[in-house]
Amino acid sequence: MLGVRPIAVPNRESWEAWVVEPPLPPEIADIGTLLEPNLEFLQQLRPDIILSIPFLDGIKPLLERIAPVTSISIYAEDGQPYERSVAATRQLAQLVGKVEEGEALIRETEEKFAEIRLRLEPLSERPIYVVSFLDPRNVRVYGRKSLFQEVFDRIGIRNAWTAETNYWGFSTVGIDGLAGSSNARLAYLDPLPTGATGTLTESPVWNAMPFVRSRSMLHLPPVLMFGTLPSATRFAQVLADALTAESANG
Amino acid sequence: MCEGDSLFLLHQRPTSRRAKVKTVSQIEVSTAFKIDDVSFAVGDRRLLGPVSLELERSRVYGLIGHNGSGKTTLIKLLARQQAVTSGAITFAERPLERWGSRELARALAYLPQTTPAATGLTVRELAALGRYPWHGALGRFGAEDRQHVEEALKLTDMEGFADRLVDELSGGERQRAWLAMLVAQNAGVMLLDEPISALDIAHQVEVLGLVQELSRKRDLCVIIVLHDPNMAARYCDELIALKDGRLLTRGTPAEMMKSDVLKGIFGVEMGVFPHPVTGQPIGYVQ
Amino acid sequence: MADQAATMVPAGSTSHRLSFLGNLPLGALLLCAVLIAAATAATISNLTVQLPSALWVDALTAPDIDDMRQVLVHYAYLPRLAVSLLCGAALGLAGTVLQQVLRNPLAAPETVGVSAGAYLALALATLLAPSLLAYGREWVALAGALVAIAAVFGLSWHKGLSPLSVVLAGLVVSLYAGSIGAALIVLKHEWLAGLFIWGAGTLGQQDWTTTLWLIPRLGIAALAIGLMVRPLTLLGLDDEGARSLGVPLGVYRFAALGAAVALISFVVAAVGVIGFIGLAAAALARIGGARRFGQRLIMAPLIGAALLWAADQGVQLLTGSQGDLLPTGAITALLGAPLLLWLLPRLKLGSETPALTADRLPRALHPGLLLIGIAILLTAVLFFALFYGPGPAGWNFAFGDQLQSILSWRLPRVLAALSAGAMLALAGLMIQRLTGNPMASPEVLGVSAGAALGMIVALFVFVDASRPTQTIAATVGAFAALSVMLALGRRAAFAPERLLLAGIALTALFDALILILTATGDPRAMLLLNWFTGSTYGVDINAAILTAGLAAFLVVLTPLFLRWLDILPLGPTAAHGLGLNLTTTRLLILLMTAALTAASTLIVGPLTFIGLMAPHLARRLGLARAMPQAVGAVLAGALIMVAADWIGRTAIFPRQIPAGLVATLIGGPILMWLLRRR
Repeated sequence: MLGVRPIAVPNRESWEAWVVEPPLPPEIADIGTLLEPNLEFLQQLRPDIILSIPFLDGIKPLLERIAPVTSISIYAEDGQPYERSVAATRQLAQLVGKVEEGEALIRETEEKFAEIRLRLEPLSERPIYVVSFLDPRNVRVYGRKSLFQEVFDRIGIRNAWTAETNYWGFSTVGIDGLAGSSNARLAYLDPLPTGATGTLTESPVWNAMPFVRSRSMLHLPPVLMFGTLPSATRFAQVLADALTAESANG
Repeated sequence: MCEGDSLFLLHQRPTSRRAKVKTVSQIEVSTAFKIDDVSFAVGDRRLLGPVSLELERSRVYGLIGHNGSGKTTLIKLLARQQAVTSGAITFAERPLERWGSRELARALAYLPQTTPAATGLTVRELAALGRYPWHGALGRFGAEDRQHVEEALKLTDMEGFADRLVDELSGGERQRAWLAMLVAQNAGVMLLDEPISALDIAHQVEVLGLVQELSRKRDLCVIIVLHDPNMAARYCDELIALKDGRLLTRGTPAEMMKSDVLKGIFGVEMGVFPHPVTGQPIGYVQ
Repeated sequence: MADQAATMVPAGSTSHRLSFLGNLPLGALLLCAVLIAAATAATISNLTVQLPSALWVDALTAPDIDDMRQVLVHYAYLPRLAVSLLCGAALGLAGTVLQQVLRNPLAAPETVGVSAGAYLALALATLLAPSLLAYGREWVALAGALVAIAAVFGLSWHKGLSPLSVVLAGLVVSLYAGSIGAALIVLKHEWLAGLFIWGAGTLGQQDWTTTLWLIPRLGIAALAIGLMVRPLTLLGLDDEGARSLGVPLGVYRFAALGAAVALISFVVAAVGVIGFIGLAAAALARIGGARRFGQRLIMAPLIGAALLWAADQGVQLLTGSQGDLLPTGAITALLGAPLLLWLLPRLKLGSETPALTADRLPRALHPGLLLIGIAILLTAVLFFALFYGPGPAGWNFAFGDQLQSILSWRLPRVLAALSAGAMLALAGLMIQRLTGNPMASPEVLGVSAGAALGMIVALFVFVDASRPTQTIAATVGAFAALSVMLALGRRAAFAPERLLLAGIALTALFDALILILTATGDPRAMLLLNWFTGSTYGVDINAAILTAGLAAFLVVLTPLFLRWLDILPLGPTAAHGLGLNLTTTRLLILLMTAALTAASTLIVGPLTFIGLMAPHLARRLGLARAMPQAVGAVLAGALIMVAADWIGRTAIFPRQIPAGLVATLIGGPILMWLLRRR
């Protein structure tokens, strides 16, 4: 992104399962877990810049001994992760001296949204639940203050989940909590926990769900729910693809 | 703080002037305990009292009575293991509650009815703990302490066991090891709660004989809770009988070992016959 | 003096003041009625929100599948209600049987570690060998539960399975199971969200399968217990009494225990861990006047069912249909902790005969040489921990100009591990000698739980709490917990039994909070988990030096306590007789233990397993007196923590396993071996 390649990321293997795009080149090192990156290892990699998150503020002084630290916060009490992502992109672009590329990325994202909005116009009358399955009975449903909500707003889709959400813009509910809207579609994200789909189809509650009965379910590939612009674009794209594929199949 | 010249000596710290410190037996006070209208209750249930008694130094007292008569309660009150509900106990002319913890332990040693089975200590180490009231948490364990410990081991005939673990001893030996701790404590008053209940007859005789001998040698006041009136009569100078939490009667063994007195104490018909050898009265159940 | 006043009372004779009218357990019946009334009211209120009352009969008997509301009531609401009743009753029954068989008024599914064992087995199977689950979840859960209860027995056997030691051993086993779970979570948390929810006891249902699955299994176990009522009643007597009446003790004890453990395993397999219902139901039945075992067998399941029903309806009332998920099991655990505190003075537990170990342990001939040996080993481990480790180019010794920068990362962590290990070992030694209970660990003081609660508050109130803020909050929490403990203990002259139990209650409270946090999936819970599991990560050199200084200071103070620590294991009576002011002595030792625990908790989190283990290690090596045992424990504690930190940093490089976790995982089996029955 922005034409700069990181030398290391935490949790490499999770990237492949949860983020997918953009793909990570193999030479990028894994520095351990997100919350406890290996500092000793990190120093030996001699990075120029460290991008951090507020969770790591506790060890910021230590990180600063290795390289200048920029802490980026996408989530806050008042939500708006998209605006914050745009701001973060500008900040990052400035930091690595790629202002042009940063603006281009923002522009491309907005253009992509506009294009998808147009494309989805005929398909956007029904609201959608976006969920991640936690187990066969419970889901995380994304709503206000989530990145997905902001993408919805920009591509003209209504979120079926209008209730309160937590700091990160989701709620944990049983699937019966998704019965509130009678004409909603359900979009569920990969990766699925083992066994979630197998037992679901036998559940009478599940089978009585409006979106199951009207067969309006969209199975989406993994998208990082806590990501920034690339994840936002990816979400818009995979959602649009799934919706169009559904309408094409009848 | 001080209430008289004789008692002033007791306040002295055991550090530099240890030699001057005297135990209660060495003080010019003939009364060890003055028990004045004392009672003890748990909730609404009165376990003891009111009881009034005076106990003098240089004597061995046997506390006898039926189960639940208040013997153990009384001895616990004297040892300040429990606080009186009402009344007052004076120890060496000073209210018992006004003694400092260690100060009291230097003057008064108490052996509880049950002692922990496993301590991980050797006999000598256990006996040495008896010196705590004298050296405290930080004081040096000096030559005098060592001397007291060795003497205690000798008196209790535990020298041969000194480096054995207390846990490995038989019941009687263990009882003597604890007694060694009490002796090392070098107090003027010893309170023993059923010290022979776990022992066979030979060890019973041995332990009580030891206690009697200690009392003579060191001028100690000893108060022992005993079940067996015959044992009590044989080794005590005076018997104190409790019944239903009250003082029933007290007297010398000869005064007490009478069939009507014994019946009053234990509630069963008892007779008395003279010991074939010593001629002492022996009580038996009819 | 509570110590002396308390006498051994068989578990069966707890107060039954309320049974003034004949033999009916009026108190328990009244409680049941109140609970049922409350639950019914909440149920009606919840149901009304979901469906107009005109349709209730339809929804129950023949739901219209085109009406989502009816479907939800029939397939979600009603099965949930049924499951809550079944599980509550099963836990109440299991709790009563456990109490009867173990003659222990504190025995319960949660306190004897059975729930934790069943849960861990299922979690491990889900993650590592899902194929095992195909044979039936109940078998996996049962296996875990049996392992856990076997471990609890192993740990408390030498104290004659006394109420307190069983509960403490249960705490240890639960902690251990918890830290294995935590290890998985720290390393693979993205995959475990579902496990969290289930582990916290979520009753949500979407059809009747769980209900139908539970009914025959619970029924068989309950029937088995029903057939054993008479012999089990006799089990409440002491062994000799029961045996002389012709009861083959071993057989019935084993069978009843098996049935109780099976009940718990089924519940855990179906809905996860439901905290404290078993304990509460059994204890309330007893206090409510159900004196005879037969009565308790009826009242406890009734109370249990009513309790869980009421609690679950309350939770639903609270969250509404669209609210965030609140796991009922964790909520009951949260309510259960204060209940336990309330129960304590009402249960006659009997006093413990103090004995550090009933085993006749060997004594080292040359304690000095032994200590020097441990010190040399510690030096060697320190050397490796500082200089040897993996880097981008594989394992190597640090040297040259690289050395300084590498040391700047490793030294604070090694120093922190060293100080924490030493302090926790000393704290453990003190609390074990103070309480005369070999299963006591610094954890049971509640200080670390308090620090952790402070940390939770810091993280959730101040969104981007900096490290100093976190530290201050944790310190405040630790002191608050200590004050509560001291206030609770003051009345009984800080009698150890009460303190330990109050500490257990506080720890349980804190565990419940963590469960709720992790179940809601809040990412901050992960931050907490990392700290909870004893990580030296991110310790800067100043903090490390400060901790080391504090540790040195406290260790220097230790000689002040050694004579007391030698005398206290003789029991309160003997200690008092030797002139120890018990209240003051205990208070000072508690304060010292609290200071040691708090200082180490602040730097490596509240996982203090090492504090339980190090004193035993020293004792097993033959260090019997307080002084050599203290030195040995301090050295061993430091050794194990430094080694654990090194292993944690290097084993799965570049990822790291928190040191406290490594120490716990290694230490658990060692502890079992140390305390093995001989």
